[in-house]
Amino acid sequence: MPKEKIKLLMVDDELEICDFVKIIFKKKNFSVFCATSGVKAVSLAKKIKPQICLLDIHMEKGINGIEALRRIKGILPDCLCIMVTWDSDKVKMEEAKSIGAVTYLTKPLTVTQLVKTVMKLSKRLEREAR
Amino acid sequence: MANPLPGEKEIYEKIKKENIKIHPLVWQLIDHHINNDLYMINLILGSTILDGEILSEENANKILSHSKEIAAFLEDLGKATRRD
Repeated sequence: MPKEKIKLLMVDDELEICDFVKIIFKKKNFSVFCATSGVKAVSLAKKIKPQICLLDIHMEKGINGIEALRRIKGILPDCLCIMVTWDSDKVKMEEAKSIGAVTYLTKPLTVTQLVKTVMKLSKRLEREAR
Repeated sequence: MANPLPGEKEIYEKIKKENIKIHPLVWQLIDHHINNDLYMINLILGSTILDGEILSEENANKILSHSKEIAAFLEDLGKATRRD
């Protein structure tokens, strides 16, 4: 039986970023879904139930990534959430971790860093599923 | 990568020693503009050539456009912050 694909929810208000992240992880055999706002992310998360979520903290409209994280963890406590941001604000990062984020990445991150982090979590999910 | 400036190491040491800071508002602009453009360039390249694919003309133009955005931002920042 073919192995079920891991669902990855990508959240960034820059559509172009979402598009390229989607290309990268589709090639790695993930099912990738994109949301360009925190509100859309929460609603999509309810529907698709992603196992991994990549959340940009700074989003222009509506709720920010931290609030989106809080709501997503409220619905899906087991979802592994990675925060992506361009600042290394320790207070914000601690807050994200206290809500349940597994880790955070600072922009401009490289694709290698991004892929390595997501693959590590995907292996963790596979181990837990056995 | 650009060649280092003569005495570049000393410049960094001087910045550290004299605690020369960039205003947080300037950092905010740098983070938003340069970091996002660099991230995009990285994603475009990472989604193609890292897998051994050839970079399409469309994506090459996107990289060019992000490089221009960085140049335009640095020009605006220079105009706003340099005092002669």
